[in-house]
Amino acid sequence: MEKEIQQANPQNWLQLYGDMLYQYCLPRVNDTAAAEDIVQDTFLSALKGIGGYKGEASEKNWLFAILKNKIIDYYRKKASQQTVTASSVINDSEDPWFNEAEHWRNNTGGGEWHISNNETERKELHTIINLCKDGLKELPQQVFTLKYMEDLPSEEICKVLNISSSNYWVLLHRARLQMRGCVEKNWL
Amino acid sequence: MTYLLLSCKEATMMTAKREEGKLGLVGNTQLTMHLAMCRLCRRFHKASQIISSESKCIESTETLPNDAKNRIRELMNHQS
Repeated sequence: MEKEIQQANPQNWLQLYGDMLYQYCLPRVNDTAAAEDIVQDTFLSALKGIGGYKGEASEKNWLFAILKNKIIDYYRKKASQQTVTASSVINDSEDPWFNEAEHWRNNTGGGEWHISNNETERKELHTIINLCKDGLKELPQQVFTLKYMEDLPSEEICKVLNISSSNYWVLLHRARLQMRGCVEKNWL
Repeated sequence: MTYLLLSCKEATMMTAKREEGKLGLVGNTQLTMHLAMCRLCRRFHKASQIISSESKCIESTETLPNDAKNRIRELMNHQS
């Protein structure tokens, strides 16, 4: 059988990829209306740029690449409207994890984690991680999402969120500590 | 010798930097030494790695609502 060159097929996009893109996007923006808009923008941009689709990436990967860019745009826009500054978030609280000698406080050390191969357990863990992420304050949450869910390099995250590199590392540090504590508390 | 020793707070922050290849030789050595000696920081490091790798696979189980699908379909028809 002859293998055809992949061609973009926009009539089928919504049916084939609509839910998939939405399911990826929603936990990353945590807002149903925003996720719908981003998926919509993704399809419309793809349609506009369809001449540039060379069939090198699969149609799915191509659409996902556009989606991921839209997610970054969403955070860039959010950052430009943000009134909370990184330094106010960083200075607002004392350290609940480490004592004056910068050692772990009692009961903050945590237990041994093991990753499960069981799909149901992993899905459960994903639900818990997502809930814990939603419980983070705005800026650490954005840093966490862009770093751990979107895997962007730190330099890019600093640019997108318009924060300094030193603030980035402090925010990420906070987010990681809080996430570990929260996930551990809720994970059976 | 003490200047080589990291506090747990410094060490946990450095594990994030190391994941991005942002530690120099000295930092890397300091962190390796600290992790070798400190069980609590090893646990944190392991837990963070699990959170990091699992976060990338998180997907919602909700589907794109029908009214959004209809709206997008209409816009796409309009544009093409």
